[in-house]
Amino acid sequence: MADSEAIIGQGTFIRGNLRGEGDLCVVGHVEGVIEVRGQVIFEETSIIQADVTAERIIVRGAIAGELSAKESIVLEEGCRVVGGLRAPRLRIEPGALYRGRIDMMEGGAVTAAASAKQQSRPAVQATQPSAAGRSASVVASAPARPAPARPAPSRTAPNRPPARPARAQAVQPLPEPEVQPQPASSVALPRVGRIRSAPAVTESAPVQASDSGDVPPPPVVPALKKKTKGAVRKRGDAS
Amino acid sequence: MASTVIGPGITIEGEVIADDDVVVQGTIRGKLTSQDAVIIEAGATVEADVSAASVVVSGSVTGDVQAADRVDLQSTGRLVGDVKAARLTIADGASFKGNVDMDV
Repeated sequence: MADSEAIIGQGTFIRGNLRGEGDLCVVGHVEGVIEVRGQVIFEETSIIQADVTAERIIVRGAIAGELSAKESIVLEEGCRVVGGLRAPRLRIEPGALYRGRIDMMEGGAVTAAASAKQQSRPAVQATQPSAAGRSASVVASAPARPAPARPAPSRTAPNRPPARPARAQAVQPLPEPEVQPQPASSVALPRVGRIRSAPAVTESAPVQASDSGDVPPPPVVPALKKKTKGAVRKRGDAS
Repeated sequence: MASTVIGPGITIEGEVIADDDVVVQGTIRGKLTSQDAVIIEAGATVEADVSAASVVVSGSVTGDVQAADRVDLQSTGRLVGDVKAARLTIADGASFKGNVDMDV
């Protein structure tokens, strides 16, 4: 299997291109490009800022970059990966941390995958139901954080009816890009449902809003995080 | 297990910085630095400036070699470039072209 074995040791730092035949084991630090015809194992202590192309990729360390494998990618427990994954077979184990886009269409170009995300999503589930299910469960934990911020505007809505619909529209476009790269389309659906239900609440309670129309700012404060709100208001004032 | 091994099929273009031993069986272009020994085995190609505590050359090196301790040019070794080291050995059969600075 391996006509050559290369090891990048723990105290070793490589900046540049690393290409070759055979297998590679990285324990150290690599910045640049890794292209190997064979298996690449990134051990626990490895720190990689590189685009990686190989036959099989096994990750136990930290990687920022695009991973592309002809055969399979395995994200093992304890790994931290940020970047796109492209492989016909993919396994994300419990305890792995991952953020990025996954493409499991064989031979699909990156640009093609980006333009037709919705088409690639069902294909992923069809070809790899088990892997997609696991990845969905892992990825789903990350987007759960922004979710509370979205339903929050509906609570503030009764107090400020005229401004609220505009704000809701302004807020909606932001979360949507986060939703798109996720393979778990089922997670996204209930969230959209909440946002749509929000306008109904405002319409049903216009009287309360007119009464307390003079007190718009206080309820907005708890709705958004302090830093977020400050940034939004500054932009509004500047424009 | 040696800390870092650049296998025979591997090519690195860029910079390699290591704290401990580096064994080169493949190709490195750019720069190679180690706090410990660098061993360039037969069949390896290094087109780089090499800096290490000690350097053993059995393969082909093009570039300046600097060693805190010693440079050993083995019989299969080929070295084109300047050598700066406290000690230098050149085995019978080795080929070498360049300047030598031994801190005389």
